[in-house]
Amino acid sequence: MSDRETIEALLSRVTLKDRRAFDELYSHTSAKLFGVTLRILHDRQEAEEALQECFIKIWRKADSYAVSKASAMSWLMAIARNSAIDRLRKRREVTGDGESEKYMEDERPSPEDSAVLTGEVSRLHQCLDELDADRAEVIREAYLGGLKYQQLADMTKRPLGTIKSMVRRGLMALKQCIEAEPENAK
Amino acid sequence: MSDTTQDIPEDEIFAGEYALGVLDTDERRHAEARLESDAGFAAMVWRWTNYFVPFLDEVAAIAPSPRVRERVMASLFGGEDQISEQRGLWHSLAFWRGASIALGALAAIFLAVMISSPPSKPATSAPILIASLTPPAVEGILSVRIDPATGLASIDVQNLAVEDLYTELWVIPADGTPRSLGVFPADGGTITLSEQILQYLEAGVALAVSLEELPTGSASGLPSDRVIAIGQVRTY
Repeated sequence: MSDRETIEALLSRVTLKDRRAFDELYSHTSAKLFGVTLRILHDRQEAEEALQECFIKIWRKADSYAVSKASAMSWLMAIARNSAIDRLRKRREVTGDGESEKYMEDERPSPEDSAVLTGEVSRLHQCLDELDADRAEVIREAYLGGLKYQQLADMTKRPLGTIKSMVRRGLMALKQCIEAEPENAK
Repeated sequence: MSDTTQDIPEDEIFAGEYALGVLDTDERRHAEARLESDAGFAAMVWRWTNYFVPFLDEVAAIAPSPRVRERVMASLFGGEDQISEQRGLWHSLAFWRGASIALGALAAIFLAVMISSPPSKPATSAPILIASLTPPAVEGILSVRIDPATGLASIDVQNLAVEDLYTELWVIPADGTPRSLGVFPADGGTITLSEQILQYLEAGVALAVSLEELPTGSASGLPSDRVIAIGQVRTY
């Protein structure tokens, strides 16, 4: 059984409130999801709190996975990112601090970490390569950093309207490219 | 490559922006409200979310402190063993002829079970149970509506592949022992429920559909090892 199948089977059992499956799911996914929350929050303690929230939501909202039509990893990732992004927004809105974070910290994983969960070379990356380099980079930074438009504008020293337009056009080009060929997997 | 956004619906962009994570808090709450109420919008968001998953390859896996697991488990399961009854649910499923239940596999179908009050009935009548099965990997739809007032379970089926087998509906109540609601036609139909079975149908219990060889259903009184759908009854 691949990692991906394992995670899907575990999550299906979690929808039935199987605690042991939940514990195993934690073992299989917590490091990756912690990587996600840490990348967005850049603070170990906050990232751990977001991860904790994330797993509590996974247990409580698991039944919504079945109807989401998302792959298991997409669903888990969405919950982790949303927990982290909401924290990030709250922090910025409280401090009014929009630009002093170290956005560009770019810790690429080692090759053995890559493609473990997602498998083949992705359509996403193929399509990002076809995009204008600037747009692709802004989308990548937005996703990995959980950055909102204003922060992207600050980071790239571009007007807000320009950034919005770059992201939106980039998204639409990505969509057209990804949907242009049949996907191998969900 | 197209350089315009004019021919793309605004909703599609908004869904992409939400999945990407560029919206501010107010816009995010707005998107989440729509996610709850608008299935078309939700489908867009999940499609985008699936597209972005390969970004995971760029995120290093970093082990969190062990205290996170402790806190999660304590927060969910600490104190009294409040979900021990639910825990029996899976174990009873696992008991069904071993581990060959096709969960997460190609044929798995999930049951999303809801309870709602019928609008035309007096408030004192028992809630109607509605179960909709959404197969993630196969074509086919199965939904179940149980009306305790009439004692009828109506099952709607579209395109469900059952070969030459018979479909039997089960409830797994808190005690973990499956009870049959009866066999139903593979292309849909109704089952008349006994008073005894109706007692088991409440929020928190599980429903399941098994494939059986006999037209009268399982001879052993327990489901076969081919359970094609399971789900938990919940209120909403």
